[in-house]
Amino acid sequence: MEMKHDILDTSAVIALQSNILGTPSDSKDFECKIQDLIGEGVTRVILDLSDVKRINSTGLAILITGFNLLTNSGGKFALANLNEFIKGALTITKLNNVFEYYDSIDEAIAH
Amino acid sequence: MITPKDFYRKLDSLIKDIYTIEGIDILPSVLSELVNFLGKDLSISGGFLYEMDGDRYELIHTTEQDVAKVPYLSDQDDVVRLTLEHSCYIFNEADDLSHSAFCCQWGQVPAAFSVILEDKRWIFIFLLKPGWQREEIELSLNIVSKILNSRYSSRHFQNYIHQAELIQRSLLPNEFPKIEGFDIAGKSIPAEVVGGDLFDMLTFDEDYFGIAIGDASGHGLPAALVVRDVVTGLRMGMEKHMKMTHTLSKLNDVIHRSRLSTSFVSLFYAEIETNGNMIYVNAGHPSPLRLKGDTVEEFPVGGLVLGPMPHVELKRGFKELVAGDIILLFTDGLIERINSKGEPYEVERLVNSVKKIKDRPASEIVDKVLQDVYQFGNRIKWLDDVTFIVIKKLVKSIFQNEADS
Repeated sequence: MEMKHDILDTSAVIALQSNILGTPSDSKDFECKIQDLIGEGVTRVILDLSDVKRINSTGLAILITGFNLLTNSGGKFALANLNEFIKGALTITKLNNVFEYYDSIDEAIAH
Repeated sequence: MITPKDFYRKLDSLIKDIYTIEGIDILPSVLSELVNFLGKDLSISGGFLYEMDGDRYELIHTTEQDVAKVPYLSDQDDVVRLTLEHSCYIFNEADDLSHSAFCCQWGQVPAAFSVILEDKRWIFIFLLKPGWQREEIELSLNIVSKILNSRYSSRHFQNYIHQAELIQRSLLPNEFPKIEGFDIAGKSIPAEVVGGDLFDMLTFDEDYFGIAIGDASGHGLPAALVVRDVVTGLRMGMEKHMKMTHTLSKLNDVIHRSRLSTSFVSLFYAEIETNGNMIYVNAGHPSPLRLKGDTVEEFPVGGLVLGPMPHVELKRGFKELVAGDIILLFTDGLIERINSKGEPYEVERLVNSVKKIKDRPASEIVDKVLQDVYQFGNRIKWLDDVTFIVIKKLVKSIFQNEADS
């Protein structure tokens, strides 16, 4: 999975590039990335999912990892640019009540 | 002198033999093959196989006549010690082998390798004739030793996986008990040897029964271990007649605390009275469907999946089933299986498939739909665990049906 990130003050926007989020190597890559960013002083991570078409249960677990890592270190975690499929997966699992999510990066940053 | 080409051909054939010899007795056969087949080319005059037995090694096989010469080696014997240290070792003239019973008795410089499987150890020792070439011996023994060690460890690993498969199979029901007024069937197919899907049926007394379906995130062994916790926890809670929302929130605590907080479980659990009253609780699982004539209904009450948050609040939902109703319970692997165009199977196709054969017995509906989904995915192997359960509320009881026929 390709991950690009931009840091603005203490906020980071990570763009994930993966057709399906949730292949076995994704978890480790993502966890390391988040831990590195927290280590660099980032307190808010916005995950840009515009290039993610689908998500499976491992992918949802990855999002939970991000949420837990940030929350446990006193930070915040948000999602942006979710397609209908991903929104559907969050609705079924009711994780939509756990994650903050926005229709664009700008909107996410503004909050 | 053998040509390198012929030598490699012989070595290759020996390796093939190692892969075809079955059973635990492979090691003595390999020793004999090495000595008889490659002995002449490698200047090996004899071979010995010692097996660890407590703090000593016992000779269990040899190509030499004089077996009584060194029947045991101490684990402090230089040959044993150096071989275990290097896994494959060709002794030098310079090595001080005066403390080795083996060398004192045979009076030759040996070559040796070890095979290790957990707490068991074997040492292969070979006597070398004058004219032996270090590179050739080193190459051959290293290859054979690596193959034996990897073959043993992979077989060992497969054995573990097989045990895990048996444990999981013993946990999930083989068949559904017959309930007066209902026809119930279901199947679960793991994408790997073991899976993260779960289903269970609990019978309490004649008046009501419980049914559960769930999905632990991920696949394989880690997910299967979570499944085991959930099935056990659910059975314990329900048999103690704890409230279902209470049992599920206790399960949430357990999963959340298990340090695998990245994993989560979706779980739908329902208790159905034989008169048709149904109470259910849904922790983030795809809603089951009720086919009632031509209409399709969801089970709208639901809460968060179990695991991610320290606490979950779950509410109970109610339905009243009537004769002719068909309830479909499934995991996402069923509706998300993708065809060659990347389209998922989806609920609509599921409903249509069931409608076509809705008058058939539940077990036939389960089999036909699973076949249809498998074909939809171009018959390629299942990439996600799939579980499908059909509950039919009968117009006539199954017992009556059997009496009629």
